[in-house]
Amino acid sequence: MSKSEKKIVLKSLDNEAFEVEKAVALQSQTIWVMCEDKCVGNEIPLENVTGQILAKVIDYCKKHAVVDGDGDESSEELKNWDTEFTKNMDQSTLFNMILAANYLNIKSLLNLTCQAVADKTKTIDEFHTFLNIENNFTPEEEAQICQENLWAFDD
Amino acid sequence: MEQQEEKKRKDYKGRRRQSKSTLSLPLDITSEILLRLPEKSVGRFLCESKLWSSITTDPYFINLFETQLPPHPSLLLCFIKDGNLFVSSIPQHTLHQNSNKSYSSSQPIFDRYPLEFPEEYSYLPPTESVHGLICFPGSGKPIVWNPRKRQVSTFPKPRLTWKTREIFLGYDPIESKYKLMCVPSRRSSDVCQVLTLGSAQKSWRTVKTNHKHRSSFRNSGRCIDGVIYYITHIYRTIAWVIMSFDVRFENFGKIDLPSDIHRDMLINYGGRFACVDKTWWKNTLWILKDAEKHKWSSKDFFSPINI
Repeated sequence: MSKSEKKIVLKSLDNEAFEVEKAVALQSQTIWVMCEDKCVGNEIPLENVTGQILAKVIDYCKKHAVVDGDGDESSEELKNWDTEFTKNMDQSTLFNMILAANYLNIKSLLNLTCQAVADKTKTIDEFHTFLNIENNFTPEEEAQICQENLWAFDD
Repeated sequence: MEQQEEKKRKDYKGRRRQSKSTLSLPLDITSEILLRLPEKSVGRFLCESKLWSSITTDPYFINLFETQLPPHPSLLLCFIKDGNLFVSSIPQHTLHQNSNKSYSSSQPIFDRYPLEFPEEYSYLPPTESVHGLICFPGSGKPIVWNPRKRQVSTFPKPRLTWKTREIFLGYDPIESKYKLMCVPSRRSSDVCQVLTLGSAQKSWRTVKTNHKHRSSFRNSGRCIDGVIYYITHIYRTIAWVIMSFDVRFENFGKIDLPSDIHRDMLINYGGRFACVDKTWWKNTLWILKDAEKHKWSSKDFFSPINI
């Protein structure tokens, strides 16, 4: 296999190009299917992901590709790396990472980012902001449903 | 109490809001995140919007939420004293780390539930955890405990009051229903009592059994894949057999035990029903292969401890 065949170019929504090892990119099931079906050339346009987010996704895939291939890092170290990776992400980055992981179909990244949101979000307000949910119960309905679920409000 | 409830409601009214941005997560991802939250948060959040309420009350979601292992599985230790159920939990990773030592730290009591056990409560062991629920059959009103929701529910006494009876908890995975089933353990009967948890009809129903039988006393039944298995004595016969109760269709089946076994313990062996046959010289595990043909396979094993 020539050197160029081992590499693949991922192009973000804002036309930023990233050249990565194929093994790194193929952790995305979406890209894997595209390559398998030979429906793309060496450059893959990813229209739902910005360059800023794609760079982070690639960081994650690189880390995990190395470990899966060489096995030179323990799963404990990898877990710590994952924790650090999401630790300082702000809500909006995390939100976009989830969308990207979902679109690119990288199950482990989706699990990691969903868990990070669940761990970081302690109050309902934070959750509302994050998930963009509106309360559409009438006050009567809300009172009734809260009444039925009082167990959840006992501290 | 009422004031507290009023306050809780007011707190939540204050949080009503309209969303500003238009970007939102796909529904299945929202549900992925909700699955990773503690049960109390899920309980609170379902009061927050019709969408969330529909997700969190969806049987598929409930099933996933109740069956997936919590992030840190724990061993629950329970004891009952003065009408209270005390529960202490030991995280399983602690047990693995200390596998060579006994666990001796003073574990704080993690939960306490006031229970309505009558004073003359004769101790009957609780059932195994059946799809996340545990039943304390008691001698009066049976109690069902949901450790994840930290909730106990008391059910009425079975209507036919056999002096001694066994209550089994079963789960039907097809219709996602829990049922309690009560059979006598001293006198044989050709009926049993069934109560469906969470149904509108909150009383016991009488269901005919195909075989007039009684359960063995202090019998720990096993519920596997929608079928409750328990040790039974059929009227006017001499051998003990296994009775199976299909939780969904509420019908009974008789399964002959391999001859000469000391029906010591019933277990769930990798998803299959099995009996442990213990004699002083060896232990044998009898695994049910085919209930209709009464076929079992056996496996001898060495046990370092006296089980």
